[in-house]
Amino acid sequence: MFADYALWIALFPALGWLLISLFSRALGGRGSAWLATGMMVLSSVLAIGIFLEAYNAAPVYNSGKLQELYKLEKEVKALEVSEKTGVISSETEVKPAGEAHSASPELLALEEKVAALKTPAPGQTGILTSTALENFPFVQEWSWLSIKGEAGMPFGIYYDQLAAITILMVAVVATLIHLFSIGYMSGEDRYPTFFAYINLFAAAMLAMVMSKNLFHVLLFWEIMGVMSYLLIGFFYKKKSAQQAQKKAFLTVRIGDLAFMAGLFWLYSRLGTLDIPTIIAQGQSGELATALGGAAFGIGMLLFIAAVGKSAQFPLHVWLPDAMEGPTPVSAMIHAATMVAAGVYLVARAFPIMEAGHVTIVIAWIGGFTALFAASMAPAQSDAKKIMAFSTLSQLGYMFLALGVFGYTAAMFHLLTHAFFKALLFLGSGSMIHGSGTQDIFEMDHLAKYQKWTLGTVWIGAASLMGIPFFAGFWSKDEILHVVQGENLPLYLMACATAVLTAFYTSRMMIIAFHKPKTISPWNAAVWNQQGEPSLNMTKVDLDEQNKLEHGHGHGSSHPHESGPEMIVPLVLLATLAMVMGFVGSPLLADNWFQRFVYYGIPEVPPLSSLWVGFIVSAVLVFVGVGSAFALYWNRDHTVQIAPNWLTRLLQRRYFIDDYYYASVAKIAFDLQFVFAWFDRVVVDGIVDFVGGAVTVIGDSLRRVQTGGVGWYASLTVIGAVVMVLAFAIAFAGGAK
Amino acid sequence: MITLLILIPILGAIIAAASNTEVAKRIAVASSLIATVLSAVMYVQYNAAGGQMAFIEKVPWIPSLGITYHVALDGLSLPFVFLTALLTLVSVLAQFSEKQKSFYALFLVMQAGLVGVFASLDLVLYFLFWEVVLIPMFFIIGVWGYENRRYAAIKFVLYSLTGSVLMLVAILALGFGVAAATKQPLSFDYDVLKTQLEVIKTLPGIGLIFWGFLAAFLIKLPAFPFHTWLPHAHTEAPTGGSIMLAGVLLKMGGYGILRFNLGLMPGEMQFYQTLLAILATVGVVYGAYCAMAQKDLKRMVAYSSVNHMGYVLLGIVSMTAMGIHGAVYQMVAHGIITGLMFMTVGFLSHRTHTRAIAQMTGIYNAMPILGAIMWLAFLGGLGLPGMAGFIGEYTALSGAVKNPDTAVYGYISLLGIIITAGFILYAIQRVLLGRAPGTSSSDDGDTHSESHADSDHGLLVSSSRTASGHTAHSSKWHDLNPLEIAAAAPLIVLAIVLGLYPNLLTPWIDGSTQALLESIKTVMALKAGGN
Repeated sequence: MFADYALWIALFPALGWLLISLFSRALGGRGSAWLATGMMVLSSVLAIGIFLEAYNAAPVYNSGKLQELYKLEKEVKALEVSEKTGVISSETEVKPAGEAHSASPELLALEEKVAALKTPAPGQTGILTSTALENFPFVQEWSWLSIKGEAGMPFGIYYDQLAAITILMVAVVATLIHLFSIGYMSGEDRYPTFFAYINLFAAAMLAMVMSKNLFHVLLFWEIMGVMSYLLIGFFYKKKSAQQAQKKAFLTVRIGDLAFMAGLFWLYSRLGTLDIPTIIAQGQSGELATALGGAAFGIGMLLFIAAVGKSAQFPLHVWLPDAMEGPTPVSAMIHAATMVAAGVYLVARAFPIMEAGHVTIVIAWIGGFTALFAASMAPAQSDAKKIMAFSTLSQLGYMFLALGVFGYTAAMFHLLTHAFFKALLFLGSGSMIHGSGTQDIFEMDHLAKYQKWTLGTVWIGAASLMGIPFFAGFWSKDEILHVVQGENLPLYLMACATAVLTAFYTSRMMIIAFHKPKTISPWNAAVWNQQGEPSLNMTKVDLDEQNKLEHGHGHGSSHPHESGPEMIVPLVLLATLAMVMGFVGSPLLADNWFQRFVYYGIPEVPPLSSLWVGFIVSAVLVFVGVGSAFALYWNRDHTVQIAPNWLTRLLQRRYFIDDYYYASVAKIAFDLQFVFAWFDRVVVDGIVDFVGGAVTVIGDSLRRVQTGGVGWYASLTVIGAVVMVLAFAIAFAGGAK
Repeated sequence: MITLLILIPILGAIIAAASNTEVAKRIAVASSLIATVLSAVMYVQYNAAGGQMAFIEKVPWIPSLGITYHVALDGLSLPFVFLTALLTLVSVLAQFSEKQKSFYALFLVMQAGLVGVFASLDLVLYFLFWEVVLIPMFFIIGVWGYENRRYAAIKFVLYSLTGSVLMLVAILALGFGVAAATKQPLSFDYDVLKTQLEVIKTLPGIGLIFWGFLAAFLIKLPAFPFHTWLPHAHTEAPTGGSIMLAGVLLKMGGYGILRFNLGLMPGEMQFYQTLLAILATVGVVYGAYCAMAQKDLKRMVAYSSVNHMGYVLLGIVSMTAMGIHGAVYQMVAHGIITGLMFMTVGFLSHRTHTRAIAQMTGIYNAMPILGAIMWLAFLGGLGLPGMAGFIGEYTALSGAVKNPDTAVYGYISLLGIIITAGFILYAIQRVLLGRAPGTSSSDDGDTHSESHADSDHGLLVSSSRTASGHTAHSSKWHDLNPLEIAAAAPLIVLAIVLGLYPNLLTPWIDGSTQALLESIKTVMALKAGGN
């Protein structure tokens, strides 16, 4: 019923953009803001309606049976491994159920049980309690760009569980951020423009998620990219914002090129970019045969696109700089939604990733980025930069999970992360708003003034750290669980990341909320692409800097709590961040999330296999939090603990940005001079030489040189006509 | 109907030339408006799915030489006819303050010639119209252009004439050759020649004939290395001239390759496919890099055309339905978007009296409407999805990849997309962003904490420039007037609508592309069998 109007989820905010762009003067600032927010509310309501419909239409799995299946499959796997090492037999390599092979009787018995669960005999209950309704996943399609005799690019909506949950998340988070922005952005020059931009961004993101064709995923993906570009540079008079927006656009564009190349290749091999077709072919195994060796290449190209968008190593460089944008933008685009689009793309194209065995690459890139980004966060003093590195790291977790086939775990973390990271960013927005600075060292004992902000941000921080029973705990633990079974080195890296996450989050919370204001030991804002970190600035320098950079426009010098327009969204997000953890928890919701979003067959590990993991992650968090408290709570937090070279290395982000500027960017940029010289001197030089020679001959023949343009024109026209006639006569003569 | 489309502007030109300037510009607007509406009606009436020629008018003209007045339109030419009428209207509106009536008359003559070029189905007639287009453009550049106009105009004409001559020879050779080989009466009719594809394939010297046509088209397109007339002509031409030049004149090249080289000589096309694909790819990367190096904003936009036309050539030589669709779509999109780019650059330099990128800053701050439109146009130029150029580029390259013979060039050409992004973003940053010259940070009303974390860099830059006397104080600049907005509006709307809803263009292109490919299929198969 609602599903027929799914397109309106994206159309409402798009309409908001159009109306504000056209009538911003008539609407005024507040009018535009409320129009934009109202559109998002409509969109959210519709998204919730369709989500419920999808929930009712989707197949329902039995949790108990799934756990049984999980256990059985583990046993089968263990037996297989032991038997394979015992008796090397070629037949055991491939064993579709029911085919005769030389397995031991125990294995056969187990497999029979597995088969009975998957496809139960009539009258018996299997894992499936009820099958999907006929119209699920919801599909709609219109003709868009059709080439006769080819699949072309029809525009369609594909609304399966993955889309349903992601759209719900995006719509709700975006609505709350719109609400927050009404207060936060008030007084800005281009207040209506801001809302027009974020409205269009939300529209593009929502449209991307429900697109049925990969071409449209690309299309909306890039519209999101350009909105991100425009919003990073929202303060367009600021040099650093200009640089950041350009850097973001170009870095992400490298990924977009890979995306396009991947789609070209896929289309030439498969003849279609239709997502349901790809999924169906993936399930039947046709995809691997159709693509052959190209599957790895296509998968890699699509993954590079995701790496660019989700800012994974080595294309991570743009995200920390992107914090130049207004804080709501950082929350919405660069934390909760757009950067997660890469994860979404990999999940969407998962059949290709699987067929091409790209997953191992995804796992390592994700695992590495998680640790690598987390290692830089403790050296930052800008609250938003800390959060940016944390986002990189958490996105790395998601890719890591996808890479080890933890599809569900990745999407679960995507969901919880969106809520708690949006919360943290908006919270830091409130902190910045209240204190007038982005530097945590300069924030003055905020706990005293900002009770609501303190409470909500601590909820977000606890989620991020993975303190038991907060949202991040459940999703991160699930990731750790799937990695543990697959890859030991990656598991250890993920554990180290968990410790670091707890450490840098606690550090930020302690210094910002519970410590008095000091001069920042390294003034984060001074650090930019060109500059050196100003570690050893004198006090006078710093005061001078502070005056320049952090002049607070609201006229208040002492910290204060933000208004209700900001606090209400914070509280709502905090509540949602708590709730979202439980939807995928084995304790309260009976693994509801895992039974709703899955790839192939849902995997629900029984509780008994999870206890150890819970305890391990609790210990990891404790180590991180404990060391942060030990280092900062009772000591002078401005004293630098790490050796200078390490701080420098981390602050300069391992010098990777500098390396890019000096190498790739420089070469790519300087080539222009070579080309331009060649064009001017060689290509045009030859033309001018020939032209000049002809003119000289012509002039000397006719001795006409009056210099007027008209003369030249008639000269050339006459000359041409003569030449033409000569040719024609010559040819006619020849033809006879 | 087509004759009407040709006669209306000619009539308009005559009246305009006979009246005074004020009347002339209104006549120009009226006649191009009528032509726009008329061509839009024809566009809608056309049966896109069939893809056949329509609105046919065929009258013998010089029967002894086999020359007929044969005009017709199909899905490949209709979009350009509409574009011609629309861009003439827009160009006239964008330059509504010219003092001489002949300026407007010349635009109308050029419009008539362009419609003739896209509608002619007789090769000699085609050539005549082709030449008709050249002369008004020569005068528009040479008389109303910027400081270096003489050199640019002569270079433009000489270069174009060289191509024309080669094409004329090729046309004659083709006509006489076919007549001689088939023992049929001499005919330059496209439809007649179309029935003799096998004969054409085996004509002696067909390679030279092919290159005769191609030379004219590659120069017009322009393809590397025949592009060097373009930056001069574009830079020196007045705004309206640049809009027409980029918007429609370049398309004569792409259209010609499609209609004549591919339509009549598919075998040769296939033979030279690799060479042409290499030229196209070089054009894409080379054009983008040269654009990046330009210090003159208008010249930069001009070079970006070399880059964009590279995609067109690549799409055509891929000889796939997808690629050709992309090529035509890209030509239409380029006409709209680059037309808009030239228009905004023209508006800008009209106010700042400079085109040097280094001497402009903070334009968006100073003139928000012009700044916003320019920003949009430039983003369209870098192939922003949601605008028409993206669909053109994507389908052209996708088509190239679809043909295994040109796949590698399709992938390499992707590089052009990121280089284009680089120079466009650079130009946006330099010209549009930052603080308007002559304003200080205190009076721009920025009150938020975050926006104050900037150094006074913009201020320093702008004040030093103001001091050196290059840039005028921005308070003298006035934002776009309603007439200028009206000139830009149709292009903005079309650029976005065609970017989001290709159904308005794709069926027209695809219907006729399929018909074209169908007609050359047998020859291609023969070729493949022969190998």
